Amino acid sequence: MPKLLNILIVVITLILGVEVIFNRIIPIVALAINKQAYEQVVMNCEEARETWRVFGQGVTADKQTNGELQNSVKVQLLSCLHQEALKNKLLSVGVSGPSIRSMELEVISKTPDLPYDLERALKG
Amino acid sequence: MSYKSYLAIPVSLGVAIVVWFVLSLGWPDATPSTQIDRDLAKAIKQFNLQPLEVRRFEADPKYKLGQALFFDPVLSGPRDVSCSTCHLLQYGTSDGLSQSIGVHGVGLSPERRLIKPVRQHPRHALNLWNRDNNAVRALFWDGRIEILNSERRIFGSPLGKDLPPGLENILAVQALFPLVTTEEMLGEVDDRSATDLPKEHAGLLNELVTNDPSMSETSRMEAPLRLLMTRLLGAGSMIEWQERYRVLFHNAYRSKNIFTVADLANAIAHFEEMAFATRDSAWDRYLSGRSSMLSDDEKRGALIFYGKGRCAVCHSGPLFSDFKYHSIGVFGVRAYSADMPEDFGRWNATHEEEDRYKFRTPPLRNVTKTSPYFHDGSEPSLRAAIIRHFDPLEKATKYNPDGSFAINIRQINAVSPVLVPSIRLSEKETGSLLSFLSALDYQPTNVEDIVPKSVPSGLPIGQP
Repeated sequence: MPKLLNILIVVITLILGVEVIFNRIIPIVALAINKQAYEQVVMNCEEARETWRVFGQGVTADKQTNGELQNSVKVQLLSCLHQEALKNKLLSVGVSGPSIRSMELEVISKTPDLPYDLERALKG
Repeated sequence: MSYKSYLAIPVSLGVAIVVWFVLSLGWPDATPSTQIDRDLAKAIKQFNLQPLEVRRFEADPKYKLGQALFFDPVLSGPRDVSCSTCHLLQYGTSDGLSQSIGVHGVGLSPERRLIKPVRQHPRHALNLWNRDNNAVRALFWDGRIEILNSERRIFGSPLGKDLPPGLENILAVQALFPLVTTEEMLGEVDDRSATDLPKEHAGLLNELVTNDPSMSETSRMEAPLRLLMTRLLGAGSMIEWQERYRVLFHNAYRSKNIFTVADLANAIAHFEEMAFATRDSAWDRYLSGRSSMLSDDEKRGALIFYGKGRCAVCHSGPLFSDFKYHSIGVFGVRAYSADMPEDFGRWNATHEEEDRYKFRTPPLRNVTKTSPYFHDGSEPSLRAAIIRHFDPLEKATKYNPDGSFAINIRQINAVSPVLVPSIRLSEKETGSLLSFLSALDYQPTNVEDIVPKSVPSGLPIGQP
């Protein structure tokens, strides 16, 4: 009988332990370890999106230059795929969606806008 | 069951959890090596990049003639400079000077200096790598030599329709112009060769320049070329070194008895094609499928080059140039000519207002060896040259000491919109970009096949 009780205590401890590890400790550790990397990819992706907004329709009369410009922004946009991949990994180890989102918002608010288009301003 | 047995279960579970954690998340590195390769593969596909195709090296008789002509100072008016004076292998076929010094100079580049108060060549010497590639559409900083129709071999140049017939390619067309440019190789009418040269060359007057004010601009260019052929091959009687040239011409063009300046230019071009080809850069090997040829830093640099750096927008194609004209906000402070206080770049060739301040995109193979940078050689280091691209309108809000604008509205409007808005790269990213550019380097291994020990004229070749 005491043996059965011992086993029961171990099982309950294990279940509680696993619960704590999976739902508390791992997400916190995962977020801490990957915070910098995730912030970097979020920043890169945000910059890439902003660049696409500016250059997506082309900016010169030269077709070839516009084509190469769009190619380079598409390469830059690969950072958004990395963001998605890392985000999915973080979610899969239990990091909550809201905490990821708040980290993203923090980065986006810190990312400076692309510098003011002085040329167009002067022309205007 | 012992106490240790009870502990074995949670410990094993803990280890399993840690292993699972590491496997599922990976180490906290934003771009592990395999991911960089995957990204680079996408960039390579996006830009349709291929390894550079280069002709096999062969020192045929035409190469031998071109080599002699390239290194022989007898081609210059005062017999003191050759093509190799401003295109040295040690400096990536440029010369290490901001602005080249042709005739009227002493010393070897980059210590070369002018000894006569004459106008200096206004631009930095361009390198010569891979100029036989089909991607090459124009030569010189302002593209004044360009291909108008490659199949029919029609070229645009300052000589217009008076270009000598029989020129095989754009490189041959280009080879003619330093020969007829006063501050490059032609010199002035009162120039004399040095007295300490071999006796058949010592103290001779520069007979290549005809000081006839009634001559047209094209005649002014044609006459020195005709006179140069006479100098090289003799008129009637020949001296020993001229005989050596005649043999070289005969060997190179076996079906001919009369040789023209086009034959001379074609031979120089052939030599340049063979000698100055980047045959085996790390980047080309990577493109051939050998991913270990680039370090992770070089690969990161490549991704920046083709991505957020926007470098590949203009530095595109196998030679890393679109051979088009852009302004990146480098406005030289030196006058282009007596009647032109600034260098207007492409405008000099077209006189189109939209071309003002634009320069041909320089190709980037061996770029680490061709400092200083830009058309005016104003940037001594490659890192500084890269950084200068990031904010071409930096001076737009600044003033000169006299209160005038640092750059004017025409200059502002000329700046390529590709660089506006400006590019933000960290120190580390700029470093990676530099690493990538060094992966484009190639040093010929057969230097002894390129630089001769002597030239037919017997003149010193002035190589370090």
